[in-house]
Amino acid sequence: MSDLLSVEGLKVNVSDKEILHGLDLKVDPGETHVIMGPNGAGKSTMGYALMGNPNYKVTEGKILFGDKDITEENPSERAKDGIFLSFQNPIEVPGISLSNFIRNAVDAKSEKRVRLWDFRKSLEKEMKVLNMDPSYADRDLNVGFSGGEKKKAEILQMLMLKPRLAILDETDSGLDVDAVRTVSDGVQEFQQNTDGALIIITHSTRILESLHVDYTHILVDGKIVATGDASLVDEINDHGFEKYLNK
Amino acid sequence: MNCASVAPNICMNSIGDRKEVTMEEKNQVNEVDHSLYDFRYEEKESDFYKVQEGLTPEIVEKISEEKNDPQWMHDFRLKSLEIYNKMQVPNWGPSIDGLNMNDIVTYVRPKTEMSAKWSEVPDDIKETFEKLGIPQAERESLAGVGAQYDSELVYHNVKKEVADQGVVYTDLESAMHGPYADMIKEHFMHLVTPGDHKFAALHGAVWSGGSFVYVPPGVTVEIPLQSYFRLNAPGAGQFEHTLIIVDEGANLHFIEGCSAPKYNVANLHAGCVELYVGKNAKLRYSTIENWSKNMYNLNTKRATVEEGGKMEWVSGSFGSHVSYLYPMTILKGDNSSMEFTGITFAGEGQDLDTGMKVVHQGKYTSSSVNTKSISKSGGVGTFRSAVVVGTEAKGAKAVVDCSSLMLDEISRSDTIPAMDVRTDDADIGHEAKIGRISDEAIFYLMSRGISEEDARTMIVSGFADNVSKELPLEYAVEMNNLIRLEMKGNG
Amino acid sequence: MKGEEIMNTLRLNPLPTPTWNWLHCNDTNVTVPAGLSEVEVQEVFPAEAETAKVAAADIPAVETSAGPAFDKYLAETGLSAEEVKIADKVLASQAVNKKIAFNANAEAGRAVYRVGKGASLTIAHFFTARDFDLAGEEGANPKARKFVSYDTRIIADEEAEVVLVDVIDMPGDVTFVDNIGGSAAKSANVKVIQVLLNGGNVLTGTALGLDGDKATVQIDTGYVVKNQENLDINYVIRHRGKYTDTKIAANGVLRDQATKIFRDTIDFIRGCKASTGDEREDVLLMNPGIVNKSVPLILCAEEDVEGTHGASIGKISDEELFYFESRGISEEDVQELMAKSRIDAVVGRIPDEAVRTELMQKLHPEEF
Repeated sequence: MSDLLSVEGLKVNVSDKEILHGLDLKVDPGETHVIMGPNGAGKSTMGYALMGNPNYKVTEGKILFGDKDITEENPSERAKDGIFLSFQNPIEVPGISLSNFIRNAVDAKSEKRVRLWDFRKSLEKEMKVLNMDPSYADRDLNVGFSGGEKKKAEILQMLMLKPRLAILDETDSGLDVDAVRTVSDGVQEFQQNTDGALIIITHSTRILESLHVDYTHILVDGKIVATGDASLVDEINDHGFEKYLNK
Repeated sequence: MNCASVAPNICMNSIGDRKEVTMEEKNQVNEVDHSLYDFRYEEKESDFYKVQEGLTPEIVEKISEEKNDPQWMHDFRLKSLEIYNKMQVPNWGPSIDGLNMNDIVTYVRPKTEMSAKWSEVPDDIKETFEKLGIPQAERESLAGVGAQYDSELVYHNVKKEVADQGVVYTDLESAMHGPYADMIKEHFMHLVTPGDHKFAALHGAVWSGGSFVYVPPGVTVEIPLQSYFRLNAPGAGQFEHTLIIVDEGANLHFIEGCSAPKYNVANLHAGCVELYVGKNAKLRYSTIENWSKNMYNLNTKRATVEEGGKMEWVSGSFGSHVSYLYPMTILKGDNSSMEFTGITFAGEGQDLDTGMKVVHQGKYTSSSVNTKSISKSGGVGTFRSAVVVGTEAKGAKAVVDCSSLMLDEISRSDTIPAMDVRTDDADIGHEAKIGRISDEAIFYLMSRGISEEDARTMIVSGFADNVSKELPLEYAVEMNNLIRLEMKGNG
Repeated sequence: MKGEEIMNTLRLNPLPTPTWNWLHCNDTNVTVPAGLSEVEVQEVFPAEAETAKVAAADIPAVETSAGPAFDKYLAETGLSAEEVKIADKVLASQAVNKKIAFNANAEAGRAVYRVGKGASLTIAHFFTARDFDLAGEEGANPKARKFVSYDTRIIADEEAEVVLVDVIDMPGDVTFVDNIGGSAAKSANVKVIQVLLNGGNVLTGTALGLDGDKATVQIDTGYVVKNQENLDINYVIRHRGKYTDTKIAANGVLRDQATKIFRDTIDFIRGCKASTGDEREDVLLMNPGIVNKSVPLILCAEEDVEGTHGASIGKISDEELFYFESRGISEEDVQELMAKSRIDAVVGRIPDEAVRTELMQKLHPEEF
């Protein structure tokens, strides 16, 4: 039975320092996995490595997506295969509008180019779900966006691209209460209306409050040290990570 | 605090008690002091006026002869004169009409022949000395009134201490005859060539005095070497040539100038500074320049940096009537870098055109520029820059940040930057802003009991802190004193 | 006339204050033909426009982007101008829409737009050229690049609103001098939107005097320079009135072996109290063979002002590239995408819907 994502013994170096010391993870289609851990555990590193950032070098292990070994594949290929990464700190790219960027990303995945009118309608609908002012569509990508708007723009992209696997890197960090709720609504929409799987990387749990969670993993010092179900989230909330730090 | 006390403080810490000057050393200094240019009195009366006009090969020959130049230098001077005669003055920048180019020979005389009497030194210069609290003996020296001066002594002592590390710190003229003669020949005016511009050519023909510094590989010179020690040497200042070579892995901080105004009746300064920074070496060149307000300061400073080397410029320009000053850095080696921190204060009657130039040639080079400019009382301040990135300079990174402050509505401040980039693999950023002191800032300070005048001074000093924090403490204090003086005006 | 072309070399697009000559950025040498003949223009005017022909001597003397030498040259050719006038308080119902397709060498046109007090007008100039020969002309130097030009002068009266949309789509073997100048009176606003799509050797820009208090100008430019093309831009804004404001934003892409020089000057003249100016340039460099020159000047003789300028020059950063790739857009496609986007962004800011739509249709026919 092929899993959607299978990570086997993954070791990853950043600037000649090993951050992930042999990571194992299996995700089935449609599942929602939560990765939690203290700062510096390697959570974002895992996200970047799965997406194929060239600065994150795999020294050992494999990443299998569906039937394919994508360990050596470049990021745009992985995106076309159906992997999506929502960045923790999305960069500003002047010179291209949010709408145009998404349109091109959508086109990259399909053979036929969506008609402008259809695309705009679809974009408007998803922006409404996320409570985003429609004027953001024509603004330069992330330029001058508040932290909250940047995160919403990431989730907007996820909703428009409909990936098979979406990795959300600290999506709720730096957001106020309302923004967290809105982003959470967006993720729920994704869970309910697509059969995409989710890997939610977080070290706080606000975003998870109204989401369905299948598995929770604790990542400490570059390795997964515990796996449980949704109740593990509550345990962390009550007792923190201390129990897992000396493993 | 003043110039004189700066040196002893720094030197005392490392040397201990000052040694007594021997009679021999005293005489040595005086002996060099003979009028180079007296030859004109030997001419027949009918020839007198001919000699007075323009700079002739004969005059340059005589200079060369009296300085006992090696043959190559003699030929070099004459070649420079040829170039000088062919070149035009620049068609951009402040007017230099006040300089009588035809009468340039008058500028070529040594200082000692000029303002020979204290009584002839202008009052405003004397007043500035008073306000800056400079001791009498030092004042006379600064005003070019000859006389024995302590700094000569300090210079000799510093020279001895660093000599133990193998560092050569000596006057350039005599070094041309010593063991470093070949090194000097290889480097002299190869970085700033006479063909660069008219005043470089002039310099090449009539240069006189200046320092030669060589730091051997791996040596870190703990104390900053200071050029002002040699203020009293003949010809010092005007056509001075500074040549510094920092060899591989070595480290040097050189300080030029001082805050007290240097006065000279002959009002042209066409100096030249050439800096060679070796592989993985570091050189910091700091300048506080406060030439008297009648001077035309047409100075040329250039550095070339080898692989992994680092060049740091710290520059405070306060004086002169007209300035053309753009220290230039050539980032020749891979991974070489440059940092430039500067401030220019243009007050009444001043037209200061300053800035910098950097050329990225090697790979992965970086440059960072932070300059501030202040214009007051009708002064004109211009920031002029050039950032050039060559086709081979992959991975070049350059960032320029310049701010200008206008203190009143009769002054002028212009920013004229240029960027020329010839490779796509470069990251160039430039930011500039101009404005005045914010009313909120003044109000805030005044609400804490500070007078408006003092508030303005504090803000301007704060504005200049990019430079003052890079200077040794004594110099920073002096610089702030200068600012305070400028802010109070001549009243 | 055409029998003996005495070509003349002029210094165009000059910097108001020169700098080091070795940088070769003070001005640009252009060889111009001895005489110019009037180009035929396909034009549509709003009903409210009053049109007239104006003799060379009566064309308003304003500072223009190509500079005084070119101004003098134009006057000497004796070419007359077409003047469009909008009366006070009239808001033009549609844009002046001119299609200027050069048909032969040494063709040129001149236009004067006078927009009255409280009136408003949008002007759209679309510049193209047919493939014409030089060879047929006697005495012509076969090596000389073809030369065409257009001169636009805008006189915005008090509280007038003027928008100039300037679209350049010229062939690769033509020198085109797009000379623009004007004056803005009290509380007038002038907007210039330049879309530079193609052009062998294009000299353009805008010189504007913010002569009345509260006069304002916005210049928004998007360009893609590729192959062996050369683009030469000169913006000069003179702040004379109080409370005047300038905003200049130029975004472009340089590819292949293209060359470009961008000069922009904000001049705060003594007396222009409480004025502000901001100029920004963002250039994306795509290939190693490019040459990019940027000369952003601020000249200031007035204390009570705020001036800022910024330039950002470089290639797509690794971070940006990864972001695009993580959305499935490959490295090769990013170049195309960024180039198109910069143009689209500027076009999107054209206020007049009809003009904007027309241009969008031209650029992206597949969408309509």
